[in-house]
Amino acid sequence: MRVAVVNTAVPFLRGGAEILADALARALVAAGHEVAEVKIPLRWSSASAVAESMLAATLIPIPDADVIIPLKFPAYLVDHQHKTLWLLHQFRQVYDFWGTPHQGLPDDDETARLRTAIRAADLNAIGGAHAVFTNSAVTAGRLKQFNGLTAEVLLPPVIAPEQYSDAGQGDYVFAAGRINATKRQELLLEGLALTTSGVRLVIAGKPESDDELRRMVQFIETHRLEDRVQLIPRFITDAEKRDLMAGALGVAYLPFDEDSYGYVTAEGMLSSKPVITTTDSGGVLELVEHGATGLVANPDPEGLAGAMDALHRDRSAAREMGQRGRQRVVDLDLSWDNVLRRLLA
Amino acid sequence: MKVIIVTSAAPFVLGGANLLVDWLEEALIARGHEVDTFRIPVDTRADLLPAQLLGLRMWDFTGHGDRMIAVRTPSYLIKHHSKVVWFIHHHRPAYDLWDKYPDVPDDGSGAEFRRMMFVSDELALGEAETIFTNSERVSGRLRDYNGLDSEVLYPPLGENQNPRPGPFSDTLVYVSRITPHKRQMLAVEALARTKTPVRLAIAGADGGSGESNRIRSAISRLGLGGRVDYYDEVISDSKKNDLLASALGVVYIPEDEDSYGFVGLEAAAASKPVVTTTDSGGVLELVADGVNGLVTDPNPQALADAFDALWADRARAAAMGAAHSARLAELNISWDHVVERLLA
Repeated sequence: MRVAVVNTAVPFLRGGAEILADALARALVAAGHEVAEVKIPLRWSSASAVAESMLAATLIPIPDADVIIPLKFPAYLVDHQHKTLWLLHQFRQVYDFWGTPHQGLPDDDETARLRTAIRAADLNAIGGAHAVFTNSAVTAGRLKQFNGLTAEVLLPPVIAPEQYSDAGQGDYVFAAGRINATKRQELLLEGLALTTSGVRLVIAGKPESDDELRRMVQFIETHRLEDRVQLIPRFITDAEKRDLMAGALGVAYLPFDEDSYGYVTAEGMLSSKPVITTTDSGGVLELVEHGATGLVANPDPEGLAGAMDALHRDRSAAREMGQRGRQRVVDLDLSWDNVLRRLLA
Repeated sequence: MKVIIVTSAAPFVLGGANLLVDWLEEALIARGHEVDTFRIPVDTRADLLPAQLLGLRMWDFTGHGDRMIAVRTPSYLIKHHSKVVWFIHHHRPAYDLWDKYPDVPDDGSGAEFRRMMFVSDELALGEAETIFTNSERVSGRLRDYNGLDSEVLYPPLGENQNPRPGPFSDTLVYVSRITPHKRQMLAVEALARTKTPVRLAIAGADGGSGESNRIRSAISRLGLGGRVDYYDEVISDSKKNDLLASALGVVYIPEDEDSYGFVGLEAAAASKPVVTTTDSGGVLELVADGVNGLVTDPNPQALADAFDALWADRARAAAMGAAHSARLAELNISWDHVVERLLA
């Protein structure tokens, strides 16, 4: 089958969606399909920039594809008779971000017209698709809430799941990923300063700004946490990540209101580690159940300190949660076979 | 440097321009640049093209990266603060092949389509800091049709492509798409007139022209079955490299080609002389008669004489094959030069 994977792109920006698009393309090729990866740009500096991006997307022809699989706004506006969406997110600025500091666009007449246009375009393009899947219950819920459209949840597979394993219980909680405000590594650090059990923390990832790094280094010095915190402020390789996970006591992942479950969550679980997250972490809560596969804390230093201490004090409970987490991910069948079967149905 | 490459593409179809973009991307990355490539689907049917031009004009990468290199038409419509174009060819049904394509008719609507293409090209190309082309011929067309100046920047073979020299056998090799325009038939007719036991290998897939069947029957009608190896398929790179390594020479006799194509470069990498014809267009920018190959009149007898000449004088064939490297250096055909110019 000829399949086009259509993603939205900003030059030189590479994140979870790009990794997912590439992995999907590879899985399709491995299954014997012909694949084209198509990138559609999105500009959002003004309402008219967004409108132009929408128009440009609708004018992209992919007539030779048997199926197109768009992942994001406005990629799903590409016109095709057999369109199967695997929706990562809509244009959140006019939906769930509206009225929040993330709104981005001014609340004026032009934006009002854009909002109307996006709602109409979404209703038409998503409502008229052959099939609609989302990457999480959060995304499906928004689609239902804002557009009255239903979608099936199709969780993205973990990349290379067989490579994650358990190498015993260390004394540290491991936080992996880009260091930025929405991933809240600083909050975790503040939590550690309040712990009483001797639990340690390893934070690894590329900081998005020097400010964040400076503040964290300063916090560690001020609170004399040098012996209890290891900060690796750079991009770490998959192998480094796997090793640090394999030897951890638990994994912490507390993004603010994330759409998806987060690769780190599933990778931690496949390493048989309990996952610490917070009540406002969105899609992560699809995998982490408090007391069963990890601990869901309040998003404040006290809550996180309590969770970290709990893992350190009852290591056998931590081990059991980790094992249940692994089983939970295995049971979900996060495999490419399953994903392709459903996307190409 | 952070470099954006944009090009138009027909998804699921491989072609020379796609390879050129792949190789450009490799060459930039190998020199430490960060590259993001957009291969944009474009449907070139005349009734669908105007809306797509409008769509591409809505793309705007201004502020992203340090340089944008636009390759295949009409991707250069995309806006950027530092745009250069490596122009491979026009949308030819609106330009030099206008009278050959029925979807751009010779009437008011065809004329309006052409006018629109000209205006669109001249607007977008006019925004470029520099326009480069792949050949003198294409530069000439830009000057004649659009009044635009450009610099020729000859495309090299990809740095990971590796045809290699080898011993000179009795076999001339013609590797290309099988189509009347490439004139494999002329090579077969020429072979029938040779006086020496020189042989011919033809490899390539027929894109649907039916030429492949005509060539097969000509081979059998002329009693050349024992002297022609016919690989009716897209052969693998390693098979192609094996054929080239043991070749006596390379045959490339397309009718009025824009540029020398990759065939000439592969012959150069394998140090084999190229046999081509006086009407082969851009190939003649690379191949000089008696220097790195033989340029003959486009008729079977003249070609047969050239085939025989290579067979009869291996030392001369080898000398001409060896002369490619000086010719490539003379024309500045290297990725170092291409990258330096595109990023200047």
